Amino acid sequence: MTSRLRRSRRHILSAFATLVAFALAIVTIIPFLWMFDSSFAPTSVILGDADSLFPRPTTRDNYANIQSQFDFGRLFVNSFVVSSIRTVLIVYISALFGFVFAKFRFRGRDAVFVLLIATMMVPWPVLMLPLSDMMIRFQWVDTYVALIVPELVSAAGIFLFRQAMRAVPDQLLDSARIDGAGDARIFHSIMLPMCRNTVCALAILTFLASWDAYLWPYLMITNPRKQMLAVGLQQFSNQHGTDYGGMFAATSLAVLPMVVIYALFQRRFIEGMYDSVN
Amino acid sequence: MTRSDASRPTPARSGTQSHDVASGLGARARRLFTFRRCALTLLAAYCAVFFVYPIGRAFVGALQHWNPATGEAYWIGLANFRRIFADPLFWSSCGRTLVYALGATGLRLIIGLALALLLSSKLIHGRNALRSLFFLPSLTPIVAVALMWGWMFDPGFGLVDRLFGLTTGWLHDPVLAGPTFIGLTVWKDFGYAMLLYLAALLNVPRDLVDAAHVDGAGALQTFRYVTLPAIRPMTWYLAVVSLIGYLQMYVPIIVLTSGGPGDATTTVGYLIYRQAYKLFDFGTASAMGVVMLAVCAAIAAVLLRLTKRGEGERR
Repeated sequence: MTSRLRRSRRHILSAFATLVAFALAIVTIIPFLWMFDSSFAPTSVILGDADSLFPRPTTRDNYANIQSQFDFGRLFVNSFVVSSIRTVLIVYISALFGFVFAKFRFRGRDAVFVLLIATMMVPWPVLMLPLSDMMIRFQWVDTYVALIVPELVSAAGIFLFRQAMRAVPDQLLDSARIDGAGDARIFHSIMLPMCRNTVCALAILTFLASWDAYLWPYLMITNPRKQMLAVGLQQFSNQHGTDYGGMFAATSLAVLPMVVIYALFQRRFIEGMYDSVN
Repeated sequence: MTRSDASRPTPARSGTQSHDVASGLGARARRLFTFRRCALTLLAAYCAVFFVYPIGRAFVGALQHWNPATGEAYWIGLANFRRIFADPLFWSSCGRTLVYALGATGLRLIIGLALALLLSSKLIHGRNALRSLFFLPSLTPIVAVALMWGWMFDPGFGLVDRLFGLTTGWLHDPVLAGPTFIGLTVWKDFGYAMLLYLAALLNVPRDLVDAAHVDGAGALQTFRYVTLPAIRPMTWYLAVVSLIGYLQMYVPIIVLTSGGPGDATTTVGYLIYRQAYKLFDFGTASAMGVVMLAVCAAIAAVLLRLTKRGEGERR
């Protein structure tokens, strides 16, 4: 009798806690819901004295207009291509050095690693000025090389892979060596596949960071047709700041790729993040 | 989080030893040697060009009159530092940046931990869905976050003002603008802290928690004396990363307020940006960057020392 009472009390508590958690989650994502909903309303309705907080979706014009008004598709593709190239390179390089720092022994390894981690502490504004001066002198301004090359080595990425690769048993590498596999072979056919989760986690974080990048592309890219989407959004907002319908539509679309990528790789991403903490 | 692996056997060493022993294995051993040496040489070369040189250049630049637009760069000693230390705007920006960084870091950690605790409770259903919803803001590009917050808090049509029947221009108010930026930052970043805390909570030894229950500890006591110490390294890590990240914050300010109204949202990061790319005064901007670097290094050193001491106590 008492145990059944306790169980039903547990059920009520569980339902209540779940309700509270979902209520909090809804509050958290209200800005998305509001923006997405409003992106289907004409600007006059968004600005008007609407009775409801969420305008009724009535039109798809906003989405049609952003292409003709600021060449949205072009900027989207630019961002997608540059972010993809950066992601592939950074993940590969991080995995490579994660392997080196996790599985090789050499004099000063730990000192070098600590030094590398210390570069994470260097504020970006300190590096930014000399780097932009360098880009001008290398004549990389207005090329995607300037967006890709200066940040290829990611200390955080190397750290993530080092953590994951230390967990790979040494016996596995030993037996591969006995079978005649070289280091490059071991890296490509054992380490990388075994660290799939970390690859996913770092890939998502890197893609997000590239998709996010604002000031550096703004400074480096002068040709508007080569510009990144984040910068384009901000410039569009400066020029057509009152076309809220268009801005809502463009921003909704700018958020979308990350959500899709996360939805596709969610499980591995979470696993990869968890692995990095152990 | 990092532990020494000195006790583990190392296959790499056996590889280099075979290099000395048999010439038949020499070719393979050389290849092993080359892989590692190539990798490290490339790393060293890259870091020299893209980390060491720029940091050195920033320190030299701080002592120069440096204007890349005109190509001028000549030695002026400590004049840049004297100028920024005499500038009241620099000091007030430092104060604002510090308040902002501490506030955002504290809230990010507290909200992240609270949600991680909530989502690690077996009582809650649909935890995967909840985790994804809470992580959504962290997946949103910062420019999009800034624009969204600008609209949400718009006095004319913003959802917040409409909901509460206000006409407050949150970002145009010298008092409210700062807290609004803290809210924006925390909203974007708490999901990441939540995820890392969830991972850390998985690693809290189960038997320790059980032992605490057996000894009659309540939920609060268990949290205070078992869970919290076990996830302390994660707290330190997040605190260091957040503080250093927020001390250099400028993107949402460029997007939304350009440091205004007045100087109410001028942070050091924004000041550096304006000095460098509006006035092309790279020298003064570098001097401010060097000060920022010093502050970040000091914070990292202090927090790392505290972490070490905390670990020492537990052993």
